[in-house]
Amino acid sequence: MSDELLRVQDLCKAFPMGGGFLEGRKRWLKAVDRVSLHLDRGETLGLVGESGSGKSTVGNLILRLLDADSGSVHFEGVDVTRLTGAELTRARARMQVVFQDPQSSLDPRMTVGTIVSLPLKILGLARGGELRERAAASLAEVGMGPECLDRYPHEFSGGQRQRIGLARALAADPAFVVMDEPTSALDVSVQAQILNLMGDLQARRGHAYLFISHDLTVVRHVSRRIAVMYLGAIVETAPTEKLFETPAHPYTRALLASVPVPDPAQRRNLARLTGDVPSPVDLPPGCRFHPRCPEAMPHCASMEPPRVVLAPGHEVVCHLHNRK
Amino acid sequence: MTALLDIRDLSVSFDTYQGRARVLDRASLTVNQGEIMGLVGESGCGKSVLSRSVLRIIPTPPGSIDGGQILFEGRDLLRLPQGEMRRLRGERISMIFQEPMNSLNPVFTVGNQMREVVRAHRRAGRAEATDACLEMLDAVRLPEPRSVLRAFPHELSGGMRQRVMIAMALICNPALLLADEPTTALDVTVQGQILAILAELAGRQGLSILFVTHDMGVVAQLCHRVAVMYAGQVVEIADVGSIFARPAHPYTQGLIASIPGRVSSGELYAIPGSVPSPIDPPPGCRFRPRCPHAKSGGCSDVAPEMVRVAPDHSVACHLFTSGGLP
Amino acid sequence: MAAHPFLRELQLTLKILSRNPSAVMGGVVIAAMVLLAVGAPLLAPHDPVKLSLGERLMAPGAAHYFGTDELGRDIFSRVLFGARISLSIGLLVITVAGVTGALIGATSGYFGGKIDNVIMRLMDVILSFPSLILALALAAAMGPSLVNAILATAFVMIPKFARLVRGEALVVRELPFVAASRVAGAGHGFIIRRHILPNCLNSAIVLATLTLGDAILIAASLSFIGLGAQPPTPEWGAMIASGRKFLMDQWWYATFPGLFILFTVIGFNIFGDALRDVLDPRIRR
Repeated sequence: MSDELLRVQDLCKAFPMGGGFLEGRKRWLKAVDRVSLHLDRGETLGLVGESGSGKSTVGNLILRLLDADSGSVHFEGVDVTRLTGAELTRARARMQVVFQDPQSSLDPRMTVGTIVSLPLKILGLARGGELRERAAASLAEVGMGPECLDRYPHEFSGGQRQRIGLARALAADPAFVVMDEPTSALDVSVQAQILNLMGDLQARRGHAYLFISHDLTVVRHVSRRIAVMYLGAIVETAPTEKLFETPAHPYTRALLASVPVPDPAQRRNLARLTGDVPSPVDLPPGCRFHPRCPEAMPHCASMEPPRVVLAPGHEVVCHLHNRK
Repeated sequence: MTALLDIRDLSVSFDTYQGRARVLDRASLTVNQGEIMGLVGESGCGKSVLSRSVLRIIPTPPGSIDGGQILFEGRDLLRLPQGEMRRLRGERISMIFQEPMNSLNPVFTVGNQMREVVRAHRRAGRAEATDACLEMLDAVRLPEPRSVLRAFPHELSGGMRQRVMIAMALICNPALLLADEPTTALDVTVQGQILAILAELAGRQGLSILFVTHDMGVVAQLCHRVAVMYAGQVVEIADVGSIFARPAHPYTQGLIASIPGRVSSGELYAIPGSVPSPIDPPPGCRFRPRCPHAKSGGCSDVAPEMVRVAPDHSVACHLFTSGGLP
Repeated sequence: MAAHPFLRELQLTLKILSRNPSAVMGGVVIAAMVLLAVGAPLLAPHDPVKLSLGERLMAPGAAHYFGTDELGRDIFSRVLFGARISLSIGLLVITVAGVTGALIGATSGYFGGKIDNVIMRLMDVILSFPSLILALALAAAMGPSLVNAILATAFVMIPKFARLVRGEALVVRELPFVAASRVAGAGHGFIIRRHILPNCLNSAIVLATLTLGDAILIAASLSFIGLGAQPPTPEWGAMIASGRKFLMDQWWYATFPGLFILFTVIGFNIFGDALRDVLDPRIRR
């Protein structure tokens, strides 16, 4: 059995904007533009980007919360974008999600026990008393005791709620979990608890994670590989330390340079890019980054950059590295 | 050198349906002329309440200031009559917030609002006010300032709005800027630009900034001195180098050890437990239930006082006695 | 504080309400009416339907606190039993309207798009009629009876609930816990039943309290016209209708039922207003 768990190929999704009675022509927001990535069993791929990068949309497309316009998502060998009915249900049991906001990711009207066992119930994987048992087991894995089963979300802190969300994601024993900014709403000390927990769980159970975040330091800590997104496309993919040591794409370089390092001995100018993060409506021709790129060349404005393989596992989409 | 801002033993509480929440407990800190003071802490530590108390914009039904002094240029702001306080706001002390969209009126143009600020504090004709606005927009490096003045807030991006906020706050050349998490809601590349602008303006105009944040990275890159808060108490104050190199308070140590950026990988130190509720805080030192060095008895009897352990380093912790480390 | 979110919110709301003078006033009136209604069998000195032709149209006095009607029946007892009827009608109306409206609204809001459009336009059509007139037309078409009056009144109140729940559904369906269930394979029915509806319950209950007074009033008006409760049922509206002819000389006949309708509806309205203010999320902070 191959090690590869997930292969996303040329995934596209565009949303219509305007085009109503008063607004004239319809414009398209290309939220995800031909994104390709892959993930092996038991590894964590970090998906990094700022607002408008499309990283959350990629997660939603993989989970089939949204339907892609085109492209494929091969999960355990099967293209889930084409599945329906019972087959889709079977696939869903193997992939789960953890969301960002501890306040709204748990139904306030359900007990924790119900919430954690809900996936099992929906997928028909357990019933009756077994639901409660498995919920307790899942909660134990995230360090919470069985007394939590009959309590309600509002009785817990943000960090504890994220744990409950994790327990819910793990209840059905998935192979793959999409983490959509799981620690962004948490304080740094709580974040540390959750990150440690995730690392533990992965070591013990062998899940693969797609870790979506805008926080580079967190992503660096948890991921084996990182993909950087800008305006709906992946601009660079590399093993973590490679990305931080030798970033190839100018956007990656600017992004890394803007991250405030928590060490006063390493002060530097954090303003590497001018202007604001644009929106993926009306993308510029050629390379989508060229209007802000400090190293833009004349043909960057007219020709789309090719994908260049710099080293095994290190790819960049940029004219700079194109040897031709 | 007398401090520009000297907060002494400030206590603030809020009346809630669950009881009285003591959100600030005898907090003290100083901001000196021309320095950027970081005020860092996690949610619920009271840092926002502290900064808002300086300008007295805490709503005083549920909230109440229970004690302490806020000395600004020698005067106690808490005893100042409302009229004088109003004159001070915007002119000597300004504030910028996290969500610029909420601070800008959506039905008026940016120019309209900026000119209003100018004219509220000095006599100026429209042309003169406009010139002052353009100058300020230039200082915050906004391209095409004239179109910015004509624009409505929703037509600008988050980063641009925040720059407009900064420009509006500094247009009357205040001595002190209170910044309450101004970059938390911004993308990291935009944050970098805003921080660079703030650093530059502070240097150029001799502006003092009290910068409230939860991000230690920002603190390390921007601030000269740092005050660390926990559960309504100020637990440590030091220059930025010392805070990172020799954190004295167990909470500060825990906080720094839990930042992902400082450890290459593997386990992060995670402070066990969680932040206490301000309605029923632990007696004595509020960090005691989570402190790995808590001494039974002493730590829960009385809240520790700030003691100086180095020339620019004070800690509120029973482990320390005045003059040095235990 | 209770743990269950519903009980906890109830506790908190009652605590806040107890500090609000309007709420207390309205609440007292409501409580009094409920007590009278519940205790009618015990409190009523006479049988409300028993004829006593020797005591016709007597003025209020020691034997009959509110006097008697043209058939010698004790008006006080009839008014007390009328409270039972009116309050039960009110409750039935809002229950029927609430449940139906909530289901319609939740479906509409959850699916959105064309379904939402069609349903909401239907609701708009119903809302465009003045509620009493529409209820009247419906009751007349269905035939005069108490049950029909209840149904007609409920029908007229459905759009209010539908609109409200639809608005909430629009918000709830975007929340991450709904997405989490979807990722686990939940279908539309499951999500509406287990996520959307329970989370809209709160506002539906508030609306129910607010509209209870209106429901009682409309039902009483229908009975007044003769389309609702039929004799000898001691319903307040019907009693006013019967008492109209005697208004000049025997003022007590129509006045007491009228006063009771007045107080009940005012009580519910004042309480409902205070409740709405208290639950305004901005003030709640």
